[in-house]
Amino acid sequence: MGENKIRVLIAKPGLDGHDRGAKVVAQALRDAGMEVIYTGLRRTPDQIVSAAVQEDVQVIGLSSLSGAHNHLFKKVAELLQEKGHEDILLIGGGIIPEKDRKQLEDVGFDRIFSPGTSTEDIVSYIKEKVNG
Amino acid sequence: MGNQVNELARGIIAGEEKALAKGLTFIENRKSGYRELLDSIYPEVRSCPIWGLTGAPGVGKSTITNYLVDSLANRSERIGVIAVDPTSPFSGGAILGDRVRMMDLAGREGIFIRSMASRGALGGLSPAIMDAVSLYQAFGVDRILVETVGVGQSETDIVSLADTVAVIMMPGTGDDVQTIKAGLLEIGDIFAVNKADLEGAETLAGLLQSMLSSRNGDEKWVPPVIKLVASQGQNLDTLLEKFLDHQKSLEKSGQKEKKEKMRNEMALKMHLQARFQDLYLGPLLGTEDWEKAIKSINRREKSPAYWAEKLISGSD
Repeated sequence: MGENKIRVLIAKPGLDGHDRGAKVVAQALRDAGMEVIYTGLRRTPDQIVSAAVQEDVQVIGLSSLSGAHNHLFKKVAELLQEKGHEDILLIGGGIIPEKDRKQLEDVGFDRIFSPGTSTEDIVSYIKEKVNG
Repeated sequence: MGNQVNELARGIIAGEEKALAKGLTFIENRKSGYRELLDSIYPEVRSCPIWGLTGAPGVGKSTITNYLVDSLANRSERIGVIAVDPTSPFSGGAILGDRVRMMDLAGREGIFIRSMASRGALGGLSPAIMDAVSLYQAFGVDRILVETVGVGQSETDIVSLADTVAVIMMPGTGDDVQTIKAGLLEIGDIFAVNKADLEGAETLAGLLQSMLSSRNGDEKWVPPVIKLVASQGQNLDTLLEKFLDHQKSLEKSGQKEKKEKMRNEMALKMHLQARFQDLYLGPLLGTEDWEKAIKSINRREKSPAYWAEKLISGSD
């Protein structure tokens, strides 16, 4: 009985207005059978975490092209830990230099995808991590 | 598993947000034990007004919901929102985008928003949505707002679910006939013409008004038609007033109990349909008899109607 749909929250923290990438990923995840809660542009880390808790998602995907990822992404990771939601898979993407990627993975991100990643890779990564 | 269900039920009744969030997933996924969960919270269900907003994609439902929730929360009400978007019939996935227009509400005390995909429901609301309402009512909210995309069956389902239904329209989406045939006229308690700064808003509002005046003459409530520019906040306060007026009118005329009964009947019917499907249709699919029936239908020996009867009665 019943099926466990994968629910993903896709959000863009911060001030950049470029959401093409986030939308492409959202569509790819939908096409892979997932339910994607798309929250749009310019969200604060507080809003993102609060929405993720109410929507009970297994995955949060953040996108940033503004360069402010170190601060904003980190804040999301901290809030999740503070509230006891380390079980949520936390991933990110956008224009993020390699040294920052490593840093973010150290503060709680499961994976930061680099530009040029295929959507299939993101889909299979999520499926593998969530369904085990 | 029993423990998990008890823990969820306890948390929901105690008003814990995390328990409500997990409980909603539990009933949405129809995890084993979901019936026990519903059973344990059911005695704690407290009825509260349920408002529905429906209309075609892009007419401004979420922007309007955002305003209503914001205003009611400012009056220190606790509000539960259910925003329903369609599941893709091809992939089974969904993009739930109603939060885009409601993000200012995220994180605010006393507001709980859940985006739900329509999932298996054949164009209408899924039984899980009825169950979600029960969970909200056990959790303890003062009011529930349900937002659905008005295409097909979900329009009529929303009437059974909500006490008050607002139909949201906008000018420029088709001719007069579209307005009549969509079946929207019969279901609204309130009609809102959004984007009223666009050409054609007057005409649409006038048309609605004239058609509504000929709707069931013996009704006590005459559905108002309101023109809005939701993106600029224009006239949204009037819409809120109309919602409150309609609620008062329901309470006065005793219709509220009737609505509640209708809702409960609908919930029972939906659960039965799902059970019938599990019990009868599920086990038939792909069996030898099933294949035989399909072959016979393909060869035009017997009709699908004949085989449906045959498969149900079990004899050949």
